Amino acid sequence: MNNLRIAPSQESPTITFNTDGHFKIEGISLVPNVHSFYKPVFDWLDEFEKNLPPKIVVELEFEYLNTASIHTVVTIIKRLVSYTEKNVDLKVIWCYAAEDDDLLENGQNFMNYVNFPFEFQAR
Amino acid sequence: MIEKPVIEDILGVIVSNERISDYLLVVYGPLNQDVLVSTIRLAESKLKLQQFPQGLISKTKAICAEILQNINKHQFKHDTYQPYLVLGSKDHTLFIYAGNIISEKSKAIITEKLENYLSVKEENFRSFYTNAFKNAVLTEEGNAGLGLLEMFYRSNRNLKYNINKITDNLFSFNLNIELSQQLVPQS
Repeated sequence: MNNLRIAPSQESPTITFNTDGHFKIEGISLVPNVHSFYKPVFDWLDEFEKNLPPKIVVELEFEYLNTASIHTVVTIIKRLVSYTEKNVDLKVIWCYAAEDDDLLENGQNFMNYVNFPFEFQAR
Repeated sequence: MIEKPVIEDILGVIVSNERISDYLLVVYGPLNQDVLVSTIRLAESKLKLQQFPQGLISKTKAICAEILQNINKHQFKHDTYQPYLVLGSKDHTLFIYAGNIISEKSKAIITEKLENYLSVKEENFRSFYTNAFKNAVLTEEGNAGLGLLEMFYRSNRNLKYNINKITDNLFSFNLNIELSQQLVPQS
C-alpha cells in the first residue's frame, strides 16, 4: 500500500496520508464537489484500515473551508476516531495562526462535531 | 439589487451608501469558480493591506466563500439584474453586501431557513449551529445546505436580508452583513 498524496490547487488542500499513521490536511478547501475530490481519501482509508498502525497523528491546518468541506473532513475524522475502538492511539492536532481567533473557534467547533479531544497548536 | 445599465449607475448606488466610507472590493456580474476563488484572495489581500485583524480576515473569507458559492450554484442569467458582492468598512465595522436572482422555490427555502435561524435565541445559537453540522447530510451534488447558517453564525447573527419580486417567478435576494468585531489595525 502506498502513501496518499494529493497536491494542492487554488481551491483544494494538500492531503498527505502516510501508511505509518502520519496524516496532514492543509490549505483551503473550496472544491465545488466534495464527493469527487475527497473520494480518493475514503478509498485509501478502506485499504488502510485493514492493517492499522498502533498510533495515528493527524494534523489539520486549514486556511478556510466551505461548509461542504467541513462536513466531509468531519466525516474523515470521525472515521479515524472509530479506529480508537480497535486500540489505535489517535491524536488530532488543530494548527492555527496564533492571532487568528476565528480559526481557533473553527477548530473548537470541529472538535464538538467529532466528539473527540483535539490538541490546539498556535503557530 | 444593482441594475446593469452603466457602471456609473452601479458606482452611484455604492457611493450613496452612507454606511460605508471605504470601499474595499466590488464584484459585479456572472461568476464561476475561478472568479470566486480570485475574489476571496483579493478580499484577503485588501484586508491585509488595511491591517485588519487576522481573525476578522478569516471570518470575512469564510462568509464571502459561502455567499459566492451560493451565487455560483444558483445564479440565474438575467439581462437587467446581475449578482454582486461589495465589501467595505466604516469606523469599526466591516460591511458585506451581496445579491443575486433567485427562483420562487429558492425564495421559499431561503426565507424558511433564515426565519428559523432568527427565531433561535442568542444564547442557544452556538449549540443550534453545531447540531446542524452534526446532523447535516450532503446531497449527491455535495451540498450541505449550511451556507446561510454559516454566514449567520460567523457574523454573530448580524445578517439582514430582503427579497423583492421581479417577475412572477424571479426575485432579487439581497444580504447585508455586518462584522462589528474590533477593526483596530494591528501595530
